[in-house]
Amino acid sequence: MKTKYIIKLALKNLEFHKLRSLLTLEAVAVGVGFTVFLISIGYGLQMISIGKIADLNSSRILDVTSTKPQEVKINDDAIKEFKSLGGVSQVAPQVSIGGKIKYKTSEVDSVVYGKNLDFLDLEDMNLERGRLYSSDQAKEILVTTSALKMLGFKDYNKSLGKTVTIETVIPAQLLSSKSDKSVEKKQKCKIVGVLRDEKVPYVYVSLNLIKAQGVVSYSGAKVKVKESDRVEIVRKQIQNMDYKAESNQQTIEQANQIFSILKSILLGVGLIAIFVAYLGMFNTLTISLLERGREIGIMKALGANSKDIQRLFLAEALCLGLIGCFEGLTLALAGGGLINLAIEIMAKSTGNLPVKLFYAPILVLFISFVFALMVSFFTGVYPARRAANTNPLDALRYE
Amino acid sequence: MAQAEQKKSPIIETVDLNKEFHIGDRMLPVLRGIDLEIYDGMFAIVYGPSGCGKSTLLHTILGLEQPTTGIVRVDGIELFKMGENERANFRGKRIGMVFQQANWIKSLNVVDNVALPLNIAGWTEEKAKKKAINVLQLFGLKRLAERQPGELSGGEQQRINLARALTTDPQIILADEPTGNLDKKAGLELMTLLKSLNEKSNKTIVLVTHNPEYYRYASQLLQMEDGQIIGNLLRDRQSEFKPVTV
Repeated sequence: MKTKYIIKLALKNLEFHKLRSLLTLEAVAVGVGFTVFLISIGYGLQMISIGKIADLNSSRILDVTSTKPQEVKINDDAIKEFKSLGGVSQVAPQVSIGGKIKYKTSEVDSVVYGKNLDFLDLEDMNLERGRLYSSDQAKEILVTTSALKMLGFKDYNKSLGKTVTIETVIPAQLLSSKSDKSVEKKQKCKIVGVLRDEKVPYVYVSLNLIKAQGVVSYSGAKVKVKESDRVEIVRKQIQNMDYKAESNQQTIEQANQIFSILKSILLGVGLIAIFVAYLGMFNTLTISLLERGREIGIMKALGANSKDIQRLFLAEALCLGLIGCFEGLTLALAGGGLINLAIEIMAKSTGNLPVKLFYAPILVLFISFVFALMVSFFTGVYPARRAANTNPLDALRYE
Repeated sequence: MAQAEQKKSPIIETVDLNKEFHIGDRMLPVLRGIDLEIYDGMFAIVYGPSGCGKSTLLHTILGLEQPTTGIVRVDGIELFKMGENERANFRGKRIGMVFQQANWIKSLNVVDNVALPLNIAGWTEEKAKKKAINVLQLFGLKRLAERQPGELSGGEQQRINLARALTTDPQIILADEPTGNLDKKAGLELMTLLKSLNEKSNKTIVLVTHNPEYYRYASQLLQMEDGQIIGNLLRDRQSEFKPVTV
């Protein structure tokens, strides 16, 4: 028998028992769809979390600090050295010191960060209102929402353009002089931007302004590596120079591990559904085999061989699996799409950033598809073999 | 005619054919040393009481029932020297089988059921369908082509059953009580159809029946009892039956 004819006959047989075939392939569809749906939610959650930890850029950025701030200093020489390392594209230092922000009669203790624009470029920050400083020389600052609250600003917009006094206490280790006394400095600056942080009060000032106060060493630096596979090498090189260098690659790896476990659990749950679906399919095929004994008998009497019969039953199993699987994947993708759409609509109405909770990689779809077909095939093997071994005369013997 | 044909080799031949069925521990002999020759163009009718082995003999000639010992030759080829698949192939091409019940493939309509043996033989669907329609037309059944076979009358079903057996143009037609479920009129119609196939298309027919009314259609009458052939009569077209002398 030609394969094309076998497939046609298989489809006709399935169509003949419409309800039974429909129920069976719906079960397969639900099983496959459910599994793909669950795993895709797992992927979605992973993408959201990892995305929160880092975008692709930040996984290539190392945070460098000194392990012994008294002895090993991060100064311009060190920065030069970092820049000379192979694969490094950008190095930006920063300083963090204690200080106060004063506005009219109120004041608030705050951390003062000295960061130039190149540093801000490497940093993930939430600029809520306003803008960055116009240049590294401008006497302009960014202030967190919590600091503004403590200074008495109810409307953050009103803080923009106001001039505040920044008092800093520069520790001795950042200064060039050999003395171990810290130095107090004052500077009037204009607020140009508001950073979102409801908990910690701090301000961003350009590093150049802090350097003008005599600072020569830095609290830390960000080192950006061109390619992500160089990150670990650069990290080791910097550590060998007695600095501490961290990237969030490790954090991402840990998170990924947790999500692998989560996805495995989801997969396990889905596989149970698939198993039940295929039990149903096995049942359907066996019943069909039992009631079609005479058909098998007459086909053999008309010249069909055992292989033909086996292929016919396997084809019926594969058709059920194939159609069920297609439907399942469609259902999963449609369901996932609806969920993403619902989240997007909700996010838009509440002013949040939309996230994709459902994310189905092509590979997952492909593997599910192949897997479902394979299971269909194996489910069909036993009934097909039994059908092939049917003795036609026993089947045709009339009562 | 019988004299002339005996010089040729028979189209169906069995030599010392024995078949035993095992029922639990007991052995039940069903065919006991059957030597049979049926020549091309004969209309052979096998009759005898229930359980005498008529159907088993037919199934052995069809190549579906493996004999315990003995030889079955069809067209000079030993059936049971072939492998199962080869035998299925041979059966599909050379022998048309008509059972008492048609045993339709329920999901297929009349024309697709009639085309089934051709599709089994590996014809393209298009050619198979064309041929099936031709055969149906020949039988005056074309109007039923798109119907479901199960909805038709018994007589119609058996005529279509015969059409199905003929699509592959086999030289031999085996029929196992094809009129068993038919009323008298439909039975006679089917017998007339078989007779005309025998006379006009020179098909060799082996038919098992209970009904003595049909003996007159035969050119060879085989009487069976208890697994043996106890009577073998031959005749020319309209003459009297004469016993076969071997």
